[in-house]
Amino acid sequence: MTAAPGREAEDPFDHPALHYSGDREYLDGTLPFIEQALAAEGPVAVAVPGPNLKLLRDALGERAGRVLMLDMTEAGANPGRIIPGVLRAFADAHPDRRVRIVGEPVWPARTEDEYPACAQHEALINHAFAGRDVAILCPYDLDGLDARAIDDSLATHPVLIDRAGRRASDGYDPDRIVAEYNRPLEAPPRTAIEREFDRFTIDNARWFATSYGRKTGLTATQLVDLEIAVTELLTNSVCHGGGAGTLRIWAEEDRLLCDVSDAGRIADPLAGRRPADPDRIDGRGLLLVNHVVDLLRTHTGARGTTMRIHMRLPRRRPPAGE
Amino acid sequence: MAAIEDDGARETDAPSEPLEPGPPEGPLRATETTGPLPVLHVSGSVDLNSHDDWGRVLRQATVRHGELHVDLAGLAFIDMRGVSVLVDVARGLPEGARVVVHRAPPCMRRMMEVLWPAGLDAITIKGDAR
Repeated sequence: MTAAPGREAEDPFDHPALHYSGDREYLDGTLPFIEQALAAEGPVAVAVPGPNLKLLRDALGERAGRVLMLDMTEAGANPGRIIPGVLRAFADAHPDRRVRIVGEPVWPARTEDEYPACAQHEALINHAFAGRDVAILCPYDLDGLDARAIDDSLATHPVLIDRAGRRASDGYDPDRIVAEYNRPLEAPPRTAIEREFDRFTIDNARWFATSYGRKTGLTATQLVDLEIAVTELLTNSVCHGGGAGTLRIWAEEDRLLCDVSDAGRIADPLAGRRPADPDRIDGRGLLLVNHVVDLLRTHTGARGTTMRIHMRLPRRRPPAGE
Repeated sequence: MAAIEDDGARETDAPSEPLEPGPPEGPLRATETTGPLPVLHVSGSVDLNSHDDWGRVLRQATVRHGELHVDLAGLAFIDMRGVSVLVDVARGLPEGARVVVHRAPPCMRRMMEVLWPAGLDAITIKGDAR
């Protein structure tokens, strides 16, 4: 079938940014979107930070029971987890219906380390859902977010909604954002411990990383997650990144960081963001990493790839007797 | 098949010596106990150096009354592909048959929970390893 002359075939995928100021505008922008889904008895989910989740829950009243309500600061703490773990998890569960999701992945308390991954995530949503019968509405807090986040939202969303109404975003250019935030990561401190690894020393590198994590004070559950994440990154380097690489691990006041670097280049920006294909045995490594770490940052290019995982350290208890 | 030993356990194919001194868990080892309920006991670790052996050991294990029992109490670590190999073997069993995993290591439980949150008909996991 061809599109009518002079008119592009309509993509059912809708991905507007909602620029809001205050609770009133938040509700005015999001409630009708949710109510449209409820009226059509269609699937609808809300994944937003806690305070906005409460705002919507209160406004929806009993109807909230028909909406999947998620706290994005938990479900989407690591931006790389949002597409597979939140958005596609919900959309893929309703393949025959138009799916509506309010997704708010950028909030004022996002850190400098998290933000680039957030912006890339917003840009990649467009590729992940192209052609799908899905609408994802992304609220942006005009009062709390800096100018950079607001500007970037115009590049990552083809449509903008604000108090003036709905219109196409002139600055729409998601691939620019993906490229722009593919930046060299800040160099590890000199205290970072470094280990070369290859196929024959991968078990030593894994063991070394988990020993370091144990000494640093990760919980038992976090140690399992660290071991899983480091192993998958090491395995990727050996299998796809030139057969060898370098592991660097260090701790800061409130987190453990671990870099895995190799000579490969990641060509697919959606790597690790697609749900697992049940018919394929490989291709789940990065997806798994995204699920178990607090943040995954990537820098990839002609000179190689570095993936950095962040694990939040448990708060230290004050010593007894003080 | 490998020789039957006096204690009723028989060695199945396992990799040779590790190529470099490794962490304490060492290479993949597997023995199957015989008797009314054959159980494949696996120890060491499953990673990119032992995926092929792991798959072979599982495919050669005895399926009795529609169940393949694997005891992973001695398994220090298994990676994502290792878990996928197990899932693949389980799904390849005859209709209605399943793999019963005893004492799965925490990393395997975690990976199953993340990648197959709804569970799998072909795999049942019983008991904690530690």
